[in-house]
Amino acid sequence: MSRAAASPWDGDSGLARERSDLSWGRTMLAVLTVTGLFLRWIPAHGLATVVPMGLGVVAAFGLQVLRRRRRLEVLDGHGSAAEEVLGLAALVCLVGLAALILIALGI
Amino acid sequence: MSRGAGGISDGGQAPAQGAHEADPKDHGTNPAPSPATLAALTAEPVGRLGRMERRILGPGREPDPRYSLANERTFLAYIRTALTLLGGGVAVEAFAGDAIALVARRALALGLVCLGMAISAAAAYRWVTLERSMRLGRPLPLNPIGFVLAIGVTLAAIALAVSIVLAPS
Repeated sequence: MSRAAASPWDGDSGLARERSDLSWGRTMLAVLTVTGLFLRWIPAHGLATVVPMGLGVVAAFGLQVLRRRRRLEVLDGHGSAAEEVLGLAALVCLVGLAALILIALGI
Repeated sequence: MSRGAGGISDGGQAPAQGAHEADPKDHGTNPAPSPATLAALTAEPVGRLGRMERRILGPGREPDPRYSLANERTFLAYIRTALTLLGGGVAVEAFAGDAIALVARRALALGLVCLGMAISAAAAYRWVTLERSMRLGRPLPLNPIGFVLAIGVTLAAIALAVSIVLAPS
């Protein structure tokens, strides 16, 4: 079997894998940026701010784990992003829920 | 079923999806798939997909990996939009100060964070529906998230503008 037949990515001139990996990286930076915004709540909410901040950091770390898993899958040429997609959406909803609770507590 | 089944051609052209790959005489003039192709499309996916992935993605053939990655990048773009809305909500609450009334500030922050969470969940649902359509060789469904996003952001902007105008000086 030739090398060309072994990989579904040979001849891919669109750099789809690199663009997807960079997209995961940008998303992680966005998570960290939102997490940084929570710092501004420390004077108002005190220690309770640690909850959304901690969740944000955990989400960023989890996103990095998902990104690495996905990168290996794509390089290997098999698998789907189903678990990564659902995991990331759940992480974002969790961070949002923590922010929601803090805003609601302030009312 | 490996990704190689719908792999990248040397010329950089995407191979036809699903049913059209199996029939070399099909040049796109006859959209009706043959019974054999229909059976292949509706067969349970096999290969290295996990049980949960098979359950989420349903039956069909794996699409061209470039289409899957494009779908994935679209999902990630929606997630970043959702994160921007979350950040906007947090920023309105944290930085607006006395520029707008307290009630308006809290309501706006709650609305933006809720919209961000909704967009995040809808993006995951959208990814699943697109992936399923591609696997079955069906037309891609319409995108309702864009409408929700446009309406939500417009309402938030109007509410913010009105709050600023009506804010106690």
